[in-house]
Amino acid sequence: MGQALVAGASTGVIYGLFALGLSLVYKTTRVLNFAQGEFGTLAAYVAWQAVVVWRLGWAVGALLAIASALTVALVFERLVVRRMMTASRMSLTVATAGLAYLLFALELKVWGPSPEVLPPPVRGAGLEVAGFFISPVRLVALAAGAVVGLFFWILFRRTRFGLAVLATAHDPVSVRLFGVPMARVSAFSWGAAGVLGAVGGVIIAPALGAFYPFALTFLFVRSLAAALVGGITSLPGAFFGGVLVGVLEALLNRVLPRSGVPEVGVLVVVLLVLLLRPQGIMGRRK
Amino acid sequence: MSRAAAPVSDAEFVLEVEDLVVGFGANQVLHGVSFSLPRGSFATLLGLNGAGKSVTLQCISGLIKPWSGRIRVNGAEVQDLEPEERAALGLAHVPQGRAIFPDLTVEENLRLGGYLIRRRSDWLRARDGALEVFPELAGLLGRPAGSLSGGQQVMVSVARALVGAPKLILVDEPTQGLAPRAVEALKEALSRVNRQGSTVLLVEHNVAFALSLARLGYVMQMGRIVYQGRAEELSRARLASLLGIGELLGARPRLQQRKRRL
Amino acid sequence: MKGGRGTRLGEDFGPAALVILVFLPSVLGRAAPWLLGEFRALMLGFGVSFAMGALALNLLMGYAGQISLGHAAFVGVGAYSAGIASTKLGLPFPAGQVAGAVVGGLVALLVGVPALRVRGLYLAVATVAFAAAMQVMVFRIPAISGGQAGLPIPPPSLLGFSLAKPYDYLSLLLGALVGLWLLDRNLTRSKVGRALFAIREAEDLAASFGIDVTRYKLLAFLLAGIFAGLAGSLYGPLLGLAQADAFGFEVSLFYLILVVVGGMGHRGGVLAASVLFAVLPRVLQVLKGWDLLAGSVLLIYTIARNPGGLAGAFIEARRRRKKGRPPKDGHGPLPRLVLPRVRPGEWREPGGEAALLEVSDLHYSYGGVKAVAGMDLEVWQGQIVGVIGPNGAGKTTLLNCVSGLLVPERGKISFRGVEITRVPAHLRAELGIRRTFQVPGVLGNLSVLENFLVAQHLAAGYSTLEALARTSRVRSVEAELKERAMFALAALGLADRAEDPVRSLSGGQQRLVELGCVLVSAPTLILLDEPSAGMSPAASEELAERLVELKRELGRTLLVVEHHIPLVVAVCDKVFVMAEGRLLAGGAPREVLKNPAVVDAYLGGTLARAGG
Repeated sequence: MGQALVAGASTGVIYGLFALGLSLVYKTTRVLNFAQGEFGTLAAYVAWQAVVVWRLGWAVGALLAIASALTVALVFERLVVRRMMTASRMSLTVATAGLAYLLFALELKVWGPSPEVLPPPVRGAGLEVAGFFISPVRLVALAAGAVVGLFFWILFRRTRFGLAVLATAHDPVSVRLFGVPMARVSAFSWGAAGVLGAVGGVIIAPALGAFYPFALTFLFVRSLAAALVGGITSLPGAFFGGVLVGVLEALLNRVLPRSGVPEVGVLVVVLLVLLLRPQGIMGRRK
Repeated sequence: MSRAAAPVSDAEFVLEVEDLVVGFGANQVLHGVSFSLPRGSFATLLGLNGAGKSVTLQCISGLIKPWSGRIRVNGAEVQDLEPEERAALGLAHVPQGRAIFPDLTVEENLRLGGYLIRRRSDWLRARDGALEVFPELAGLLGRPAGSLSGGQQVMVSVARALVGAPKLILVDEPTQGLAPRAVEALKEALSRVNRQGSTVLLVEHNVAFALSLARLGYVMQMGRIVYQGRAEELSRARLASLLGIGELLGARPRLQQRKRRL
Repeated sequence: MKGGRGTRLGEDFGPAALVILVFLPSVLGRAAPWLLGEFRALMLGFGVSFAMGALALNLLMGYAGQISLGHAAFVGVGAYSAGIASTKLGLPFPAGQVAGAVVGGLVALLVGVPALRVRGLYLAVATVAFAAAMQVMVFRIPAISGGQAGLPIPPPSLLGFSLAKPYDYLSLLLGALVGLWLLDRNLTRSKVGRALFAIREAEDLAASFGIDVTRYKLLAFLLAGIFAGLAGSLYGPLLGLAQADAFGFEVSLFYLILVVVGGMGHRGGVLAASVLFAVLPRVLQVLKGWDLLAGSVLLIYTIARNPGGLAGAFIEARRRRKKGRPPKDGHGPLPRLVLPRVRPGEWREPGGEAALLEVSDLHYSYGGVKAVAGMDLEVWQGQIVGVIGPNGAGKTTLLNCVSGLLVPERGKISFRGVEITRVPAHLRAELGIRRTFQVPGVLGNLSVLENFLVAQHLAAGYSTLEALARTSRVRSVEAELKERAMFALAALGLADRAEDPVRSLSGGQQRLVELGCVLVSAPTLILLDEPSAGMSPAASEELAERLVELKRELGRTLLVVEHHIPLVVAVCDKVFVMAEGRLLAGGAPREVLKNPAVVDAYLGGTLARAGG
């Protein structure tokens, strides 16, 4: 049981990263970003190219991966999101679906449809803590989650701009009265979504075993569930919602190890949570 | 009126609104609103619900784009600027319903009000200045703003506007839902804000509260300004008739005088 | 919009057009071998089935405004049901399709139940959860779907004549698409389609027209499920082998793309998007692997340039060609309301003993804040009664309780002596209570004529099935409704704007449309919420005259909530003053207005006295 908890938490941290990206974009620009997972797939491919093909170090590969997802996100924000400020949110949401398909097509064209394997960042026997075995991949996931989580916490709670982003998430209109530039907040959220997707992607790809074009888009449903469970008004909630969903999934997998049960079980639990507490676990009632 | 007619700095009027026409969809709300606020004045904008008071404020701060008309803040034309650009000109707006950020602490709320202040030392000085006006908040800096009482939340929203040392501060319905004691405290604070040099434009339903503070009075009715002048000249009867509730005081209804046309 | 374009084609298809529509698919199907070749014919078949599925989602999202991110699962349910019916139960071809449609409809109906409680993001998650459950569990249960191996679905045969050849099957698919198109068209030109549009635009307003929002939302899910199930039942044989992954999340996403890029609520646009994104890339095959890349760039470009989709771009272009910007200001003079003088006996009740409307000890609060706290009110037949009071007095809340949008916590509301405190809004509309709203209660995206047709929802007494078939009865009822609407429009001086969307009208004209829509349903009691809001003083004086006409000449009873005191004084027989949720004073306007407490209430309570 404890083993399942650790496994669930380390996968959940990755869900948390995706959920945070999803939630950040949703709260500052009111758009569901269908391309959130695909930022991760793209990053995994770039890292694979650097590490396996070009034989650069893992760290270089990860940096290149993050840079490429960041670039894609910023270009999309500048060319599409910014121009659709006044358009219906459903139209913009479909534009993000278009971006997901574009990245999918790109991956298919450049790397082909067959699965690739990204080696884990560290090898070794792993750790044994209090009788639980933690594999290196899971350790990296937990560490990366902690670092990214801390980074955003400091940003949001300790810097002027981070505070402005947090406030924008709550009320995108009235923050402008204090001089907060809307365009920069929008660019930041998308950039952050790209980075979060990339970090999540390069870490989860080795854990998955193999990845292929469109692979991480399937995390969308879980990330959305996590963001909603955490609470639509709380960014930390989105992150911890991810952890919760990961743990829940691992537990369900242990109790009822049949294909499909964990995925659906998580969604059912999420629906129940939303029916009982529509503002999410960490959210605040309006 | 060309830009040259009004020098950008030290304009006599902090705010000049000229022939503002605003609507939503096909619904016109303001039908040519014009007025000017002299530097350092305390003005109030009165009117019944739907007269267009809040819309006027939202136009000035840029939350609503007018169909036509001009707005000058400190002599600079702002009608085509974004709200964040107007804030940089020394304009603050305390919106209706306070718009505080409940999950953020009081200090964080204030920090946002001083978003345009970059240096930490400058910010601390600005914060302490605002706390002088609202000493009660000094002990609450670490508390989430959402946990405060209604009166304290209003203080946060006004103090937040003060942090940026605005030249002009727009305050929309601050007494809504406040206990009498909190109203008194707010009165003292707003008067102090004005004495410190900010020009204040107050929109308020509580007419007595507004008139006890303001020296300039504007009355709006159905999207037009129907009175502008000294606040103390707004007697009870005069005000009632200006607000369009004159009949309440026994005046003959205007409509009955018209010959019915069939 | 829909109705507008339909009428331009003529009221109905002539027999010649019908013959073409029926034979065109088979002719096209026959011509396919020469034009396309076998592989491309098969690919075209795929595209056609996607178009059918997209039409189904358009019904749900575009017409009724219910977001679904799990649409592929409905299609999948249809495919598996039809497959099981034909392979395992050995039913002949059309029976399998019927099974697919029926099961699809029932399952969608089930999914629709949570939609009554949640909307927006939460509804999206609920549909995602349903689709995931279908894809990862139900579609993989061996007994149902052959498990991981999939369910083989043989080509159908019709009257012992196999449709195994792609060309034959293509004709069948095209025929089905045309059929679906016609059903969809009939739907949007009936009260059913209009009720869905009204729900999409504004549920409260829809209820005030007498539309049962719950029932029509479920109906939208049912119909969308039937359409999707049918699409799926025809999709299965194309696949040959149905596997769960054919109905996954990314397929749902693709349906969503087709609908939004086509233009939500515009079947023509959705069909165009299906051709552009589902048919052409498959049939052309010229891009040699670049088609997905080009397609997604085209998709992003299309939606970024035209957020309203292809249909939005088309409508915009046509509008620009026709005329410039709509007039912005101008409350032109209000024409006389010489509206439907339909059988005066309908509203002239024999003078009863009780008041027409009685409100006693009404309470309502919003999360602890008391808005109405013990309000009493009486309205007698043939009166105009005004409710005034300062901002926040609870006037609009009172009106919402009377019209049924809010259910009071305590107190009693009676209409014609019958208690209606908890009767839902749409049933109150049926009893003859209609209302207007502060922001004009009009369906801005529908045409003026369509607004007047929606308003007569209760007068259209045909069933949904009749609407789908567009029987002669439906046609004659619709013609009658249209005639009455056009009469009203002519009386209001809006006949030349009948086809224009209401949002292009001026504020004063929108008020007029709202009032006309209320009157065209011949109500007994009319509730007016701030009718003079946004009007110039001159226009509000005209309005006063019209309201008096309504009472004197049409015998209506009116309850008016209003800020503009001169209007109240001019028209009301009786005035109730509300302050802090209670009755402050009531009686003839003159007497009430002499009461000093009323002035105090307006000028800000106790402080006003001290300062005044």
